[in-house]
Amino acid sequence: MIGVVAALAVPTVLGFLLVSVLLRDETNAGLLERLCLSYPLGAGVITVQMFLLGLMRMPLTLWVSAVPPLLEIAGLSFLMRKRRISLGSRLSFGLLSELLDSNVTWLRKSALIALLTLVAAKICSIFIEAYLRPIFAWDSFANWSAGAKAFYYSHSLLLDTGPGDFFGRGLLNRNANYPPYNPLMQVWMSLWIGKFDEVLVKFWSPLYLLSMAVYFYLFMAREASRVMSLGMLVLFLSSPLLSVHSIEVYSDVPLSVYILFSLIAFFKAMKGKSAYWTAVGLFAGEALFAKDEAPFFVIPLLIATFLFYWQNRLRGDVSGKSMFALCAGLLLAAPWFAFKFTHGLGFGADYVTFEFTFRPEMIEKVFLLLLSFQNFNVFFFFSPLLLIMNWRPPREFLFLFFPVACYAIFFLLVYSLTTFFSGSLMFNTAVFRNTLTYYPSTCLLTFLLIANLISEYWASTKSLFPNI
Amino acid sequence: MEFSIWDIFKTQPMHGGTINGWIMIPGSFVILIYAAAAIAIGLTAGYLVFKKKSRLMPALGKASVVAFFCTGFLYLVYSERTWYGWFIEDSGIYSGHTTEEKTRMFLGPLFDFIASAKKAIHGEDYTLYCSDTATYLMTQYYLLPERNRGEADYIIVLYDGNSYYDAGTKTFMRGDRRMNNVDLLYRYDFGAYILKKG
Repeated sequence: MIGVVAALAVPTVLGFLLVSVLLRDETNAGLLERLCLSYPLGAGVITVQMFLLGLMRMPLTLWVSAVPPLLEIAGLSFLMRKRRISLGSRLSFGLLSELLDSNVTWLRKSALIALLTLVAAKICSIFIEAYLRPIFAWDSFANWSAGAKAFYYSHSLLLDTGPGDFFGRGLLNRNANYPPYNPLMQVWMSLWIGKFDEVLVKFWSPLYLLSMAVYFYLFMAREASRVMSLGMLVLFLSSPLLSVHSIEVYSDVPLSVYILFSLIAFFKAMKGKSAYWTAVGLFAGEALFAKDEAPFFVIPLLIATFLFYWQNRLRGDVSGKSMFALCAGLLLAAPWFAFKFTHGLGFGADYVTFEFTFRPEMIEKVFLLLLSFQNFNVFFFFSPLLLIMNWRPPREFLFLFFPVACYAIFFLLVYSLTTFFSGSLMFNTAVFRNTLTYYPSTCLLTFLLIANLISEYWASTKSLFPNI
Repeated sequence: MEFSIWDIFKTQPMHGGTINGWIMIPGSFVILIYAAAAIAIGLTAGYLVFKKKSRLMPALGKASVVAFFCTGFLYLVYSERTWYGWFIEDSGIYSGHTTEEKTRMFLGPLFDFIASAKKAIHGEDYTLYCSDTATYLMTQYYLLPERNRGEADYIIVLYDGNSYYDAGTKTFMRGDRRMNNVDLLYRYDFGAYILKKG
């Protein structure tokens, strides 16, 4: 278990120092917020570095893989001490002080305690369940973990083999086109554990959920009351698919975390916190290294950021330097795409064929699936309804909505225009899994719509539920 | 979509046909959610318009928020009942065991066969024949880093409908292909065995 703790602590510490340097001028960003960003950021950086080491034909041993991040931790610590960069002093949770406040009604306190209990129970149960079960899902065996095992035992990315085995291509159902983030994260865990452990190798997955849940709560608690934020969080966590993916070694939850974090960073950047522009680029870059579908989110996100820049360039809210910082963050994914294109690796699974068709009825099928509440709570039913009710949502909302909507539409086009996906092959599976990657961002958009409706209602009339 | 009041009170097991379909929410429960949403919107909007003299659109907006939380928590009761049911069941099965024991419980008899195969092939590549795709992939996965190749000295047969081994003549046959002088290294049962080319 010490190996697991070390394997998770190193990316967290590295990420925390990176976040502290990035957000050094953001005094409002509390310690807990920075901690939530740390692990996903650090894990992405470490796996990219392992990929680069593999490309340089360095053996992927613990010593070789751990030295760069440990040196970076030392270097960043030295830099922070020299420049007197603070680690962030406040925990900024605020929940405890509200619970202890004598002016808060007992009804509100009871609601807070009940909701907090539900959140804690759910997250704990996910961690325990991840510890109970060995790897059990089809694509873990056939793709992600098969690749991880082959990389781990060979201490390499299998680049010097015959064409049939190159980059683990001929291994079970492994898709060499997919970014190697997930297998490398399993390799990283195994290196610290000392063997490929079918249970412990999964432990990086629930930590993504924890980081996402707490950060999502902290974001909401800044924009609305704690009761409402915890209520939203409880509903968000009640998705069965999110829970099950969080105990397995799939890439959909990490991608959903990077999408959500890049959107929240964009939101904060739009509010004038310019330090977050680099974070937008970094998290978008990590999304590109996490899963093959990410470009179809990142490209619309870039369009949205450049539109925002173009609209605000004269007001001085956003400078060309901010856009440069964003693009610099994206460079994190450059080695992967350079490798992908120079070695003729395509997009999507190896077995996917791109034969076009026109089946608009598949769009209706997708909507029916999402409105049947299989796997997700009621977010997909209420978000369009709340959007209509908002009538004129805030400008920031539209900039966040654009990349998420484009990403969702991309999947609809894939389902209705390609013979492969519109066929019967695991159609529901593909729909639900792809939807999971933008489920947290849909929850974020739903929250922003609700927060806007409530604030507008307060402005127009006396509230029915003033404590929401 | 048929409605049955009893479906609402039943706890659906974690389905898990694939990792992406874990709960089969019954149609009756889906109808209940939509009905609850309509009632919550109607009642709240009515209250706000007639009692609080609110305008219709802001009232409908706020009513939608109330309906969102009402139906969200209704869904939560259902989905979490299933999740915690699964969690308790898994705790009973897997808790207190080592990784190896958990894997054995998960795989069943296949675990012992794979362990024997690992010993028999001595870190060499092998050729695997198996009719069932899931078993075919799982066996390969647990035998890693040893690899399944088209041509290898070791042959692992796992309930393959096309394969036959005659121990008397040391002959292995698969379809039209026939190999002589093949030794039997290990036999789990009639359909599961490991061979080595002579």
